[in-house]
Amino acid sequence: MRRIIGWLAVIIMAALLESTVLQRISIQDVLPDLTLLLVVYFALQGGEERAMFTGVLGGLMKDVAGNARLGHNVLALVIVGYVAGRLSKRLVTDHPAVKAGLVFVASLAYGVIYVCVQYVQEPSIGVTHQILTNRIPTAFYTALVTPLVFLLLDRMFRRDEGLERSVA
Amino acid sequence: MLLGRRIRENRSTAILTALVVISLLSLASDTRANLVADGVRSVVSLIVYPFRFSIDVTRRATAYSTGLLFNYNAARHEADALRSELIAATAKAADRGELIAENDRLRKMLAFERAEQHLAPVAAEVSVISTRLDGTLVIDRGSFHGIKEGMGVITPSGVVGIVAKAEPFDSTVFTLNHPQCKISATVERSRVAGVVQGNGSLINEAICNLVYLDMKDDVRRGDKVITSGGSHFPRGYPIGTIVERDEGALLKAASIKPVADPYGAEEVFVVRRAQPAVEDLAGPAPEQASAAPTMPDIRPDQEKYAP
Repeated sequence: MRRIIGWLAVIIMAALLESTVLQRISIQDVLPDLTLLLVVYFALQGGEERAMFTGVLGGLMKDVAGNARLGHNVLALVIVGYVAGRLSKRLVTDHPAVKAGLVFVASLAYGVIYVCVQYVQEPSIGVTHQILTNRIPTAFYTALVTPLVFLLLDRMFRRDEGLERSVA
Repeated sequence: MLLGRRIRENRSTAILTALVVISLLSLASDTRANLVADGVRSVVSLIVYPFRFSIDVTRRATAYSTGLLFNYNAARHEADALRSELIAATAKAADRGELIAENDRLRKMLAFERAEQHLAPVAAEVSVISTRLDGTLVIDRGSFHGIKEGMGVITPSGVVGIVAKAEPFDSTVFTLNHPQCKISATVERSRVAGVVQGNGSLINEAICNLVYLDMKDDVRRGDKVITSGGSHFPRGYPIGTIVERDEGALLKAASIKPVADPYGAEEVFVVRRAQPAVEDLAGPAPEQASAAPTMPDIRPDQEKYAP
């Protein structure tokens, strides 16, 4: 129960940070995607189911925050969470660079899915331009902050797990 | 059974499929996320309202109580400023009332001027500068404007007085109240002639008297006294009403309450010429003189140049 509350709190906090404080560290309108980081983190820690639910909640909040079509971010994050969860079982190392690489790929995949869905709805947008100018820099920026964010999340959730185990 | 077992075995894939389908349906329905935001906002505001209300009430109460203590000086200054503004506004309103009253008076003067056509060429409208308790007025026209001593001063209601002294740019008027103001008058009903003279009284409403009346003259209380014509005023102009008779041995007098209050007049007319000019009565002189030859003047020089 405690873990679930922590999980919910972290997702809500990430969405709030992304839409408020994080704007200050934006470079050319490019921000690190905290929600995606959480999806990948929970995919690595808890498997694809947890990652997908993280994607549902985080995506919903992103949709609401950006007044997007309901389900746009949810769809992209759920797919990314599922794939990342599946991949995490085959990941044999805990090296931060590997995790950052995974985040980079996941972020890129999320961006591509997002832009493609957007293209289906509004064919007038420039897909290539968006991927080149926004999605790739975002993926890079997100991968860059991955070690720091994962470290913080590890501290929060590993401690909880340890506490639960000791209680059990 | 088989389907259930397969779903259990591939639970994560089933969840993914379900979530993807739901997302796609939502995207297909083109629902904006604002809908959710509005719903959440409504619920949150409903939950938060009592807290916000209580905080607001507390804040107001605190501000009120601290304001009583700390803002007293500011409030006092504001009250002073407002009081000054009120005084200024009141003065403005009074000015406006004064202007309306002046407008009314001027309208009456204009109406009088139009009604009394015979006065138009001989009367000039002037303003009263000051009123003195010795029975004199000062008007803002003088000899420079053609005002001369002895000219009559009137208002639309009646006679006010006579010009006593004409300075270049202002003149002094002896009102009906002044002892040196003497105007020849007639009792309208009985046509008895007399002289209206100021009595200098500041207490009674009868500020002048009709004097030089014979014992036998028929003068009653309530009779109207009018000008008898002459050098000062046109004939038949109202002076006042007899309020009291004073019986003497040989002569009697009567106290008169004037029609026009000389102390209340603000604009008056000066009668430049009491009688109409010959040209006004007879019209302009014919251009061509008589064709008869001019007779020689045979008078002696003494008679011719006698004063």
